[in-house]
Amino acid sequence: MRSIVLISITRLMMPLLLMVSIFLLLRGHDAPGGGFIGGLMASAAFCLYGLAFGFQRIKSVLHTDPRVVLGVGLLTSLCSGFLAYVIGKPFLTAIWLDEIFSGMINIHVGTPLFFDIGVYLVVVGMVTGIVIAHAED
Amino acid sequence: MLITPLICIPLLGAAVTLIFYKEKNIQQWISSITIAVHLFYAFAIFNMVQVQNILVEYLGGWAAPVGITLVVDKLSALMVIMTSIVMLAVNIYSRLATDAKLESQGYFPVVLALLAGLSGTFVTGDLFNLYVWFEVILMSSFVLLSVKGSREQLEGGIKYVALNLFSSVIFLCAAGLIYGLFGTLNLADLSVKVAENIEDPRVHTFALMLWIAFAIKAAIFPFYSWLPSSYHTPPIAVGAIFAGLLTKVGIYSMIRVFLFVFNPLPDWIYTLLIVISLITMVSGVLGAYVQTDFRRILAFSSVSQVGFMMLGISLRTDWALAATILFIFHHAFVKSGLFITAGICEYAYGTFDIRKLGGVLEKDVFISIIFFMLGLCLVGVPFSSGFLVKILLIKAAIETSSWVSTGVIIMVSFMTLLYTVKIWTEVFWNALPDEEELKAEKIKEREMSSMMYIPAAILLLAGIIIGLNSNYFAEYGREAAKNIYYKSDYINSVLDTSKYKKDYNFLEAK
Amino acid sequence: MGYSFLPKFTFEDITGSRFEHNPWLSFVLLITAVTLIYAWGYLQESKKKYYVLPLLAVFGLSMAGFVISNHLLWLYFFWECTSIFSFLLIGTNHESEGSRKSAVQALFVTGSGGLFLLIGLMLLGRESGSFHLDYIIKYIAVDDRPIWYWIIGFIFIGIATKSALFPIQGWLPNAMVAPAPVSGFLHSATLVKAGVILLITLAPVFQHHPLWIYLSVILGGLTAWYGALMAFMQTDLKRALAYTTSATIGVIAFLGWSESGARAALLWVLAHGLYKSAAFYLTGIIEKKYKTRNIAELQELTMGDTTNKFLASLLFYCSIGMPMTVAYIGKKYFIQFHVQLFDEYDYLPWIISIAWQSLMIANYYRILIKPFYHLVPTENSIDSDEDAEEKEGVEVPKIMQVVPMALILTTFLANLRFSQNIELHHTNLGIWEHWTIGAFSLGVVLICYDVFIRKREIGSHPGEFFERVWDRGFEFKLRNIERVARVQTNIIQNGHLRYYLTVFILATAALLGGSIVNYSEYFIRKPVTEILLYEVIIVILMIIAALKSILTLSRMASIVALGAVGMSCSALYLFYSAPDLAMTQFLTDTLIVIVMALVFYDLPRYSILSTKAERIRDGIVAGIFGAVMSVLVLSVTDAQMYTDVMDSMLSRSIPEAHGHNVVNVILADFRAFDTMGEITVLATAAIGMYGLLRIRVKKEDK
Repeated sequence: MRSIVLISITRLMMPLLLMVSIFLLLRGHDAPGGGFIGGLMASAAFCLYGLAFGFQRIKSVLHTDPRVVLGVGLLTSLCSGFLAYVIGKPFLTAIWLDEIFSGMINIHVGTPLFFDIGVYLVVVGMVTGIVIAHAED
Repeated sequence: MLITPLICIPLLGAAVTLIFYKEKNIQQWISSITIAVHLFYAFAIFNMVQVQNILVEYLGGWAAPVGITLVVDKLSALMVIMTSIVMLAVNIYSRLATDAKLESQGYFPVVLALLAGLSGTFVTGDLFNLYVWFEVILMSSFVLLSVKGSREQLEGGIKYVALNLFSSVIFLCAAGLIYGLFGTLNLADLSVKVAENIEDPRVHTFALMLWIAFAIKAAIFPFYSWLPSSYHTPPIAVGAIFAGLLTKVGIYSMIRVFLFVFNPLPDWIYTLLIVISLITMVSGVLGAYVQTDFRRILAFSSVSQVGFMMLGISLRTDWALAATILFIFHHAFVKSGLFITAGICEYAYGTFDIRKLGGVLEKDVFISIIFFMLGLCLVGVPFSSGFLVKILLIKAAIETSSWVSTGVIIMVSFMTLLYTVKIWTEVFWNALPDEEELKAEKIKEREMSSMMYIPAAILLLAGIIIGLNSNYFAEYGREAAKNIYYKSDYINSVLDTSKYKKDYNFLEAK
Repeated sequence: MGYSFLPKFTFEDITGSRFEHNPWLSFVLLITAVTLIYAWGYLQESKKKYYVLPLLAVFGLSMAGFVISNHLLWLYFFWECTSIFSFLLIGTNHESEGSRKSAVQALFVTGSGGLFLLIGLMLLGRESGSFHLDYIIKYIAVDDRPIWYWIIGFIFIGIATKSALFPIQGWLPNAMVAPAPVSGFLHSATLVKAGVILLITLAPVFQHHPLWIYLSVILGGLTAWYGALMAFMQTDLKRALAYTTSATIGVIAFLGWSESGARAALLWVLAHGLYKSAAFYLTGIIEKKYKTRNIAELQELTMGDTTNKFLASLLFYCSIGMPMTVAYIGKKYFIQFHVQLFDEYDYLPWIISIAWQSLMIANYYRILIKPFYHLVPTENSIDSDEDAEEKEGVEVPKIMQVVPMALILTTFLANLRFSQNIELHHTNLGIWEHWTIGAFSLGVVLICYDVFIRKREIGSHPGEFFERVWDRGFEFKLRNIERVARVQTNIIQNGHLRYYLTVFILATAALLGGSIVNYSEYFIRKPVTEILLYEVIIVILMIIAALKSILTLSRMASIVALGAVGMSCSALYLFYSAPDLAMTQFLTDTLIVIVMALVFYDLPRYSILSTKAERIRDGIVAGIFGAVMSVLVLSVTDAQMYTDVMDSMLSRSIPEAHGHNVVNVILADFRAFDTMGEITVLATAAIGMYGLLRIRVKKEDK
């Protein structure tokens, strides 16, 4: 029951939604958004894709098993926390690049962003995992 | 000393095992190594606590009460070690009694997540963070419980998760309400602010609400029905973890939140709690007495033992609390050990039904001895761990002139003896049932590796060590209890900024 | 006092000054040694050897520990050890159900008694301020505070269960299912003596307390008589021996409660331990040889067995307390104590004790003489055309014969040791003569009755009635416990989730509602803020949607209605200026609806499984709970007492955490650890879902 309309809309919307989700993720620290919301948005995009092309094909878009996405997400968040150990601060202490290398780098990027990326990945991994597993019957 | 590794090491292990989701061997090794490292680290923390009494870590460098604080005092250190040892024993067991289906369903990452959740619960100094770890525990235990997906397991799993979600709801509401009143979630800060308003009946009600949430977790009358309906369904590599550690989370949180933060409440609450704990003890033991499934007997027995722990909390003396703390510690080992023993019997002789088992003493002397000794620990024969905790509790009951409690302790101890002996006579003494009968029931015997005794023996050894060093542990338990009742030490170490700078000299930069 | 009540592994705690001059210790060790030798012979061909011998050894050691232990809890430890090992030993033949039952019965009785003893000892230690027995014996005296009644009562329950004193005596004869070395060792020489040894040990402390005196004298006397009478009716050798044991222990309890009787009691324990275990071992030999324990049957079989005839006769001599044996001295002390206790011319006690002694003489005749000497043919003599071979009996190891012999010898030797420092009042000698002559002549009368009038030795006897009362009572008690247990478990744990949930919800509502009703002025307050129109509209929308989701008969409608609840919630967040929450809620709800709609196709047909009454009941339960929660939430609205944490988060968000969005700063920095936990939950949930959904797939593949 492939619907042409759905397919063409998805072709159009999918990159857009993913971009919006990344946008939400990146701007999270200063304006409404963040890893969780971004992740949900991306999952919604994948769900849409699944509805249009069949859920099994989500796997090929992801290029890997959702469980790996989960693991990588967890690992990213953890590592962003562990980074603080390197400079002798407690776990999860925020490190900002522009603060450490003041003058050299002017991008306002820090470990909270990496943390949020981990959250993003876990949310995506979870939702896609569920829909893929469900679609396998 | 850093506390986070207690939580992050298992989380790291979980993440890595997830990435290697296809390689069972790698997963197995990673989980074993993770748990071993965790145990090692837990011992390091334990040693450190002997020196420093209370360890504090401010996550993200945000001093209390703004950020999340991790605190390890003597109680927490003991709990973490307990968790780690039980996990290690069960991990060894799961390696030997391999269950391919369970392992392919993500047993290893979920167990590691459970370990992280348990450690988190025991070291956190923040009410909402505690809730988060409760959720981690709930979710991972539900997954472990039902992931093999047999009808029986799903039924148990659904009962488990539904009733425990109710606990989560209550906990979350209570945390929200408390935040609504006091505007803080840090336990030390909260206990200061609660102490200033201890007369407010709203505070009593919220404390009671938290107690209910914990009571469901701890399986206390009338909230225990989830436990006997779920503990007998999962494979032993899961059931042993559950039996040893799950209810302890509830009891621990009661001590940490209900006793430490909300103290003193009006007397009627404690009297009510004494009554409830006595009912729990009796009700659980009666339940255990009528069961015929090895694991169900043990499950009901857990209920009655939890009643003992609750009694120690409600009697409100430092000895009684010491008894509770040590009870948690001892019961984790003994009950997990008994579950593993049951598992070995099932593995070798094909059933958990004590009416169909028999003659194990003739066939397998080692496991009989291990069971017998663990049973003695459970019943509380002198110089076993169970005796230490019971005698402390009896002492506390006598000293508070709580004669009814004393009587019930005696009665329930006696009934404990009854059902332990029932297992012993039916499984180990009884002659083996007819071969033909067994064939009709499709019960098969399996060859087992003699390595399988090791996990049970480790846990038994832990129980014996507690019993033999009863003076040391009694003193330790009392110190831990004092930290709960005389809370200035804890509060000073968490909230005092001068100490805080000494530990982390970078913080003035913030 | 600190935690000094916990026993330590020090010499002081384990034995202290109780190690030296302890008459019990050598007694216990001697009996243990000979028992081990005997048991080795007895079990030579049985594979139970490896089960019984180690257990006998550790039992002996724990008994030795018991008699020397100084700290009250060490004492309790060894006490419990003897209970447990005796449980294991009684159940030696655990394949037979009777054996298991008797073992369990013995454990139940002694185990429960042990717990009472524990309470008694704890109270004693608390009252004395020390848990050291030597200190307590030296310095503590009872007064008439009620606590001492409790202490004595509890301790006496322990003593009575262990020593099988009168109302609790029934487990002892049942325990005779064990093999002979076990019965001889545990149930005559050591285990049952533990109770009276404790009685004798504690005598200096309690001897002036009326409860102690009455309990010992009355229960001791009753046990003595009950045992003696029951023994007289038995036809089974071992059971008869068990009852005579019980009778003697009664006398020891009767003697042992005071310091003045202690010496007599000590001698009785020693003498009885020696001759009675010898008698048990002899019985064991005979049983092994002739495969029966019935007195009458043995009469036919033992004709040519001169060794055992001789041994039995010698034992008879020892047991009835003839000169040159320990029992003889014990009797003298008994008379001396008797004189102290009762008036010399108060005839009744004298008559009672003489009658008892004569009955015991008759008992020992029946046990030790009658099976070996065929004086008068009995009615139920077995068929004479049995094989001669069978009458010869089975050959038993020689070592077994040696052991009773050695024990008998010891009674004579012990006599030499104890007769040296005998110190009896001259005035008593007259009484002694009267007493002895009276007892013996009456004993002869009873023997004559047994030989010439009472001939039946098979079948039921009146004593069985009492035994049945005990067994039935025990089983009745067990069955009652089981019935109560079953009923309560079926009520509480009935297996229905909806029932559990109802209980949970109602119990919570009751606990919380109770305090709300009690302090209603704190909880029921007027709202501070004004209620705005859009709030009302959204809330009404939410309520309608929620009701719709419950009441609708279409599953799809229900899912959509749930989505509507979520969306309205999200709108509320938006109005309260929480855009992050609103977005999250919105996206979550969208995904939930999608996933639910996906799952929707796989669910079974929608059907109504509950009755209308049930639904109304559930509605009421839910309503009550909702009301309680609403009141609680209202009680804290606008009631925040402290804002320091919130303020500091707001003020530090931009300068220190470099973020303008406080919500995200909280999630990813202030409280990032919570988020870490939450993503763990998500990951775990995903693993679980993944696994569960795939399992179903696999099943359908098949």
